Amino acid sequence: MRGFVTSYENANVRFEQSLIWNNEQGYSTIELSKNAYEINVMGDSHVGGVENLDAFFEASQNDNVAAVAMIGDITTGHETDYNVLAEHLPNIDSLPYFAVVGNHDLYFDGWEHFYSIFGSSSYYFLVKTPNHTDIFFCLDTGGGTLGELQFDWFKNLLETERQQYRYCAVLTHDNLFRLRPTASTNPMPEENRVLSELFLKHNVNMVMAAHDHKRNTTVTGNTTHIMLDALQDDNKNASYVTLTFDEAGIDFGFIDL
Amino acid sequence: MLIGVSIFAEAQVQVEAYGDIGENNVSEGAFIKSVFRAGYEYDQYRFMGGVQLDLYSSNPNLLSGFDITTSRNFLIKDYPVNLKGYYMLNRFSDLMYETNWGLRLASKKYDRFALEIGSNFKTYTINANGRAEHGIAKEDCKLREFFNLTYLISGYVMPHNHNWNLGLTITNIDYYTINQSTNPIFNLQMKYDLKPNLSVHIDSWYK
Repeated sequence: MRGFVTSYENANVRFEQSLIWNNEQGYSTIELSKNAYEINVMGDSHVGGVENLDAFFEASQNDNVAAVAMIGDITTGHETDYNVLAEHLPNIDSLPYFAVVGNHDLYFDGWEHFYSIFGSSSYYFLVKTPNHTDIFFCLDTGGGTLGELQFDWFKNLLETERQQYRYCAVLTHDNLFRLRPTASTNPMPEENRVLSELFLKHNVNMVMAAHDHKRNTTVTGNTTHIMLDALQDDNKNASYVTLTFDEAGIDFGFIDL
Repeated sequence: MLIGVSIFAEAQVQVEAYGDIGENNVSEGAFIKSVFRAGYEYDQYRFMGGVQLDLYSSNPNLLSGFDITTSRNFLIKDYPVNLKGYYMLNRFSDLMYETNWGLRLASKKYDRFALEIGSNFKTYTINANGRAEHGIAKEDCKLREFFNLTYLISGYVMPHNHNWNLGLTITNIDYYTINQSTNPIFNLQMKYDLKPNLSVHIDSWYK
């Protein structure tokens, strides 16, 4: 539907560009000396405003988390907002950060700016502890769909790679399911059906999404779905989520700002 | 692309058959589906049921869908309406299925328009096979979505009872699939009555 009122690169084009980036830059691995670790995840910061964004990065550095993830609608898509964002990003060596694109990030030719700062929006990263390695898939649903190419890539990785890793989490922008009255749009049912089956078949432990601006959680099979509050400055209920990974499992908590 | 045939065997009995050829992001190539539906009309009531067969697709289930619909015609003041209650089962996997149920209020009062508004309750469920294979507790096997608005707005070149027609529809309801209301589907449809009791339909859907 958005394609009727605005235009931007479609999911397949963005995925091809992401794949070029992945092939050139490789996939990140965070190596830790301890078995328990935390990752902070936020979405919908909609920069311009950076008060909550700064608070998120500051808390993450103070808590010494392994990484942070920004799961879309980080900006409003304007080049000026991307410039502000770039000024406020932490040093990636002191706080590794990962980002996926959201629908707002794509407006006003935003993909070009996103790509220049973050590169790929379809990739995975690994967190390696002394005993285990966990995999995190970052998927581009900024256009409301994975698109055929990204879907095939994701499915192939689940089928060939997933079993090598302990935990598996998916980080993406669009919430897949409609759990409350909302006008925020999910992917088409055909896509949700196949993704649900893949999550079940390949024991995807956690799916993190944003887009809806209001927290929600549900468990289906072995998969916990978490939808985030918007981090943007004017949201009275702004929060982010801390994911805790250890031998016992994955825990999560909403951290209010 | 959907091609269908409707036969009114008697005044009260209707039989429909559809062939559906298409492709989407996750279909892994083209799919071919077929739908067979039968209905019976008595006074102002109508009962209809159907099955969907996946003849060629990535779905391991041949019998991929089932639906039943009950409807009644009545007047709201001078306004003729049709109220339907429906239940749909979509067996999209050998591990999971999706159900939809709800109500639809429809009207064809105006000669060249069809309007419909309704509700939909969707549930994704991990079936017994999926629960056993993946060690899922029964209380974790369902995901229930919040109620969803359904709608259909059709405009036609000719009046409804004309022997041929051409129409354009915007809706979020497909056979065996109901989209979120913010994800509309566009449907260009043609109908030709070969005989008084035999019609051919060709629909082209864009999602």
